[in-house]
Order: sequence, then C-alpha cells, then structure tokens
Amino acid sequence: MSALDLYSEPFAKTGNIAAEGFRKLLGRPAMNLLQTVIREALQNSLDAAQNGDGPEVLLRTRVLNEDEVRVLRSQVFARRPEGERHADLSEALDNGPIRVFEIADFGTTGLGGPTRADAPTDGEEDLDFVNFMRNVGAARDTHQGGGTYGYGKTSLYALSGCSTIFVDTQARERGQSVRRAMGCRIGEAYDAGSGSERRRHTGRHWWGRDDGEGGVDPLEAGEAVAISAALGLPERTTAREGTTIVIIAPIFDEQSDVRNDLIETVLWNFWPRMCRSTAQEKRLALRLEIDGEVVVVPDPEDFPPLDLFARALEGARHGDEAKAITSIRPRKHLGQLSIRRGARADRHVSALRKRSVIPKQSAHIALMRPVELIVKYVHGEPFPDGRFEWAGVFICSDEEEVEQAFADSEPPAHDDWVPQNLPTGAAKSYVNIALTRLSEEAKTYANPLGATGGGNERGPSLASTASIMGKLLEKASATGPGRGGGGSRGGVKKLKSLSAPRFVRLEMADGVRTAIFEADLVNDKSDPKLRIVAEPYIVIDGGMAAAADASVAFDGQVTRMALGVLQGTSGALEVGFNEGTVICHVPMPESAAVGVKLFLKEG
Amino acid sequence: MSRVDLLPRLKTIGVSHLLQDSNGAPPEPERVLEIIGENSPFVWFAASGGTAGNDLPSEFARGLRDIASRCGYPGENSQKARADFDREAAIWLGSHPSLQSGELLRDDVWAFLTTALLPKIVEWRYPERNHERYAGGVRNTFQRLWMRGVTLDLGEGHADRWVLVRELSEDAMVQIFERAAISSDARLSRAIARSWVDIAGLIGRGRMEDVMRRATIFIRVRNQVIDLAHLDDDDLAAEIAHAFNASIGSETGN
Repeated sequence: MSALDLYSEPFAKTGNIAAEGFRKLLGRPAMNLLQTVIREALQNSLDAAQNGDGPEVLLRTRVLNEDEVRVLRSQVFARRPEGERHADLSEALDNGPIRVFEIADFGTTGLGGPTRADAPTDGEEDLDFVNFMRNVGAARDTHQGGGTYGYGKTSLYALSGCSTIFVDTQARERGQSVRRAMGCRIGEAYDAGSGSERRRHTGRHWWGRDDGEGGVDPLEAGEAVAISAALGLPERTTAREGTTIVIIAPIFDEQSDVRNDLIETVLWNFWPRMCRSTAQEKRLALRLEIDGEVVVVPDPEDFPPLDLFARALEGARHGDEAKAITSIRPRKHLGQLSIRRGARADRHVSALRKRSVIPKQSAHIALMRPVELIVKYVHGEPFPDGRFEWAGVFICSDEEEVEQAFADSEPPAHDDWVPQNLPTGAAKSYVNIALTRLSEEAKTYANPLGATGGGNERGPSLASTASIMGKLLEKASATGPGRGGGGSRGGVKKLKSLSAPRFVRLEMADGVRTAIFEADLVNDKSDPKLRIVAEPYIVIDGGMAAAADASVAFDGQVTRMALGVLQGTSGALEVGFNEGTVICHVPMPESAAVGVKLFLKEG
Repeated sequence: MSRVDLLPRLKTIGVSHLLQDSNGAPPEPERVLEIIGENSPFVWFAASGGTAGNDLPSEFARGLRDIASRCGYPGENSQKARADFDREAAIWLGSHPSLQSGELLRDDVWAFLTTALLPKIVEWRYPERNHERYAGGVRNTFQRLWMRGVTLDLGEGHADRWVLVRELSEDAMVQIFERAAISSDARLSRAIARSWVDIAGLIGRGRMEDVMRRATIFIRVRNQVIDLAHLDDDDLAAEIAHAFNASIGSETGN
C-alpha cells in the first residue's frame, strides 16, 4: 500500500478557524485532561448508540509492536507537513517505542454520512464524519443527547503528545455500509510555500487519499480495513459498527496511575449508565485493557459511595422519596432531587489513593439531564459524624423547554451549567433557580437550618462529639459489661491532677499587697521529681491579658509557694510524692487585679 | 412608643453562600436576589416587636450610596476618599432616627444590609475582599461606622456634635471599638475619645498611636479593680487622664 496523502489546510481568504483557536474552543473544563477525554469520548459513544442495546466501549493502552510502528511511520504518517515546525510529531513517531491510547466503541452508528464538509445535505442524513473530522462546533443532532457541540473532540488532540489522532470507523452512508480511516493533526498556524505561492496555514492536517481537488478523503473499504488491521486496531465487521480513535503518544502524567485513573473517571462520570438497574438500551458495557492486561471495572453498586448515588438515582427516576425542584415565577417544574444517606462504606481499592476523585465522605449532588450523563457534582456539607454520608441526584425535567435551557447553559465540555451562557429570560431563570435551590439543599441537608424566621443561629453540631463518645462506648461494650479481663478489681487508678487555683484573700506581706491563691494537688506518687510551676498574670477584660497587652501591663513574679512543710520563694516548687493544698502568693501591682496559672511538670 | 422598623436578617451561612459562589468578589445583584428571594432559608425577620417593611432598607442603601458617590465612589478610591466616606457615613448612620433601635444591635441585620444591599460599596471601601467586612460584627463595613456614630454622638444640643467622629484617627477608633470592654460602655468610649482629642492637641497626632494603645490597656486593667461605669463624669475623666499620662510617661525615651 502506498503512503497516505497529506492535506495541510491553508487559510481561506475569508478566514478559517486557526488550530490554536480550535483547541481553545474547549474552554477551561473543570476536570483534568484525561477526565475530559473520557467524558467526551464516552458521551459521544452513548449519543451514537444504536437503538436496542447500549454501546460497548473498549479503553485500551498499548505499545505498538515493530510491524505496527513500521506501518505508522512508512504508510500512515510518512508525509509530514511542509514548512511547519513539527518537532512533536517527529519525536513521537520517529524515536523509540510508540504508545497509543485507543477508545473504541461498538454498537454505535460510527462516523457516517458524507466525507466532505462541503457536500450538500438533505437534512436527513447524519453528518457525523464531517462533524467529527472536519467541522468545529456543529449543532447537536441527537434528541436530548449528551453532546451539544463538537468542541469536546479537541481534548483528544490535547491528550496526544503530538496533537495527532488516527480514526477508524465502520458506519453507513445512505444506508450502505462504509469503512473509513483517516489521520488528523492540529498543530500551530504557520507559513509555507515560496514566492507568490507562499501562504499561511491553519495548522490542521489530514492524512488520507487525494480527492483530486487538492484535499484528502479518508481511506475507504479494503484499504481502510487493511491499514487498521496492520495497526492492530480492534476488528470490525459490518455487524460491529462503531469508531476507534487512536490517540498517538498519549500524555499520561508520570506520577499517575492510569489504570485507577480510568476506573475512577469512568465510574465517577458514567455510573448512571453502568448501574445494574440501568435499562439495557441505555447501559454502557465497558472493557478496560492496560498494556495487555484486562482490568475488571466494578459495578457502581460495588463502588462506594456510588452505591448510595445509585439508590438516589432510582429515587429521582421514579419520583420515589424525591423532592420536586420548582420555579415559582415563572411557574415550572424544573426537575427531581433525590437524596439517600447511609453509613460510610469502605472505599474500593481503586479509590484509596490520595489523589482519588472519589470523595472520602460523600456529600454531593450529581446533576444530570434526562439523558443521565453527569454534568457535575454540587458539593455540600457532609454529616459532622464522619461515619455517615449522603449522596443526591438531580435530574432536570424532560419537558423540552426546561431540558433545552439546561443543555444550552452547558459549556462545550458539558461539565457545568452556566446560566450566564443564556440570554436573560425564562430559560436563564430556570437554570439559576435550580442551581440555587440545589446549592441550598446541599448545604443544609446534613445540618438543617430550622424553620425560617426561627431564633438564633444554631451552635456547632454535637454530632462529632457524640461520634467520639459512641466510639468509646463501642470499645467498652466489646469486652462485655462487667468483665474487666481479671485483675482490674483493685479500684480506680489514681492519676496526678491539680485543680484550678482559687483566690482566697488579699494580705499585706512585708509591706506589699499580695493575693493568696490555693489549689488542690492529687498525686499518684509515680514521680519523685514532680514540680508545680506558677505563672502570674494581670487580669484584663475579665481574663488573662493577650501577649501583646501583657508586656505593657505586668511583669510580676510569684513570691511564695507552699505545700505543707514544703516552701519555696519562686514560681516553682518541687513536691515529689506529696499532695494536698498548694498555696501561692502573688504581689499585686497598683490598680490592677492578678491571677495565676499553675502547671504540673514531671521531672 | 415609637414605631420600630424590623429589618431583614441574613444568616451567617447565607453570607458564606453568597461570597463563596462569587469567589470573594461582591455578589452580583442577580445572584443576591436568588439567595435572598422568596422562601429563602437564609433570610428572616423577627417574629414580633415591630413592623417589617422595605422602606428603611431602601433608604439605608440610598443614603449610603449617595455618601459614597459624594466621596468618589466608584471611580476614586484614595485613602482620603475612603476616610471621608467613613466619617460622613458614621455621622449619617448615627443621626438617622430610624436607625437607633435594637434591631441595629444584631449582627445578622448588618450582614443583610451589607451583603445583600451594598456589596459593591464594600468592595470599593475594602478592595481586599475580606469576609469579615460583609458578615455582621465589629469589622462589618457599615456596622463599625454605625457604632462610631451612635457612640460618639455628643447630642443635638452640643455645639460641635460630631467633633469626635471627625477628629479621631482610624487607629484610635479601632482601639475603642474593637475592644468590647470599652465599646460596650458608650460613656467610657466618649471619655476616652475626648481625651484622645485633647492629648493629640497637646503632643500631636503622630505620637498618638502608641500612646493610645498603652492608655487603653491601662484603662482596661484599671477597669478590673475600679468599676469605671460607676464613676461620675469628673472622676471618670480623671481616671482616663491618668491612664494617658501614664502612657505618655512610659513612652520609649522618656
């Protein structure tokens, strides 16, 4: 097979979107890149699911073998952009082993429709291929689908160390099966050519077959099958429609644990489509393969706290113990909120890492549209008692006007509802009101505020204290009541203690006005060098002076300490095994009150 | 008995909610309306003791906005502009007849007036965006000025009724109004303020910061052994003068 032809896109006179701009269109998603890629790719797969069964998705990382590397270098990407600085491409393809990250879906519609962006459309046929490979920001065509724009695909390029992907798809065009394969790169804008031919290019490149008009089309039919097989991509037949996206030289953080990152990301973002209770036609079947090893992805019901979320989802779906979120003006049902709580279950081994996105104590509401793809989580107040947690699900109403409002408020990465994205009007109000209500619910679920118009603000919750006490009780009851393990009947062990000092009287001692304090010492006679240390202080605002004030106000010393026959004339007294009433003398400065702090110090 | 206007109260969690959502920036009016809107769990009125209405909050906002505008808001934000605002606002708040009720002693009332009605002025006055400037308390942007106005008012019959508000430095105000033992006694606060003005006239304002700090400590210490609230005006003035003298006497270098 001959090497693929390359088409580097020049700017049209009327202007194109430059590649940098294309990448920026993604905005700034609130997630890391791998999460964004997984969300975008899986969302697309779910949108593209054919009627009947839910899609099957394979996520696979692997290192290409020698034959596959040769095909990639000498056939797929043999031609390189002229005039562009493409060190990243050369480095990824020409040096050492090549790693790829593949996202393959099956049971989806694949990238069908015409292959050229300028092909006229009859409005009936899907434009998946051109929208994915050529156009940016095409309007959505899936009724209440998860994807509203095509911008998210830029994340695929961003994850590639050389901003390059290769795509293989089995799809349909005008009812006929088609197989297509094509490479695409999004580099930076650059100038190329010489003399009057010199032109500025957008930085977008496609590898395929010359279409005879200066551009390229994808490889088709046998040629596409052959190149895909030669690259070791998952097999496809006309009965296994779908798309494989190969991200060349993926950038995985060196510190990251790709296996657990993928498990967590998939579950945290797509659990509603993976629950055992999810209808078959919506259910996502996921396979994960990391460098040749098949990794089992647990069901959400076995991956706390998603078990709680799964229960909340059931509630929101069926309105069972769910709360309706409504707008009063304009009056409209905005959606259902369902919250479930329970004892905090131990986390799955994949979610025990420090950087895990899975919360240690859940207090979140998952927001979604009826398509049941998570947009984001609203983080609320957890229960003060760390042994319990709660999880909520909000599904916006499927009424067209409401669903459209929420969809329109989503940024390109679909990871938020941003009312500011909408013009002033009812739609904006719906999203605003729902977000406000949900935020309030999240903040007050664990600690209800009490009735509106009630009395004072609540004090701090006693739950954490109660929890500590509860743990103590658990320990006590573990040994059984009254069974002290033998030998413990010798009475309560005596501990060292010193009471708070009491003011007794004022007296004149050697002509100095002196305050006398007393305190009670209990001694377990374990330390022969036990000492009592006294620190006098000036009283200000009813208590001890703050450090900054004290330096101005007082530098007094204790003049006498006594315990029975033991006497001392400084601020410390060695008491050894003695116990009883300690007496402490503190001289009073003029016009001030003094206090004293007493401490026990072991020898 | 005169009519008491009940004012809306914003719970502490409501303040946090508003500020958290805006990352510390003053919340947009639209956002405020969502939080404090109908059936908000964060806003409430006292159940009895007066009449709830919107007139006083509107007047409050209008009055302070006018003062801020005269002092340069929103364009000019110099130290002088801010000091002018503090002074004029304290006088306005201290002299407004409807702002003298017990309602104004509540932190949550101030939290509402500040966070819900005038957040942009707070940002102009305190660009550093501290939470305590919105929440109720002695550092609330307007509550502190109200305390100054109400406490340092020398009365309608006085020839120079607002001299203390005008003359005291910001540091002196903080020394008085951020010490509960002093600010809880209006007569003591005024006595200290008067002494401050007198002493500053003698030794110059430049030396007053240290002198005032030590003097207020001496006064608070003295308050533990002599109940200053029970002294008559002359004895109280003598105690305060004594504290200032002691403070000047212990200045470094003296």
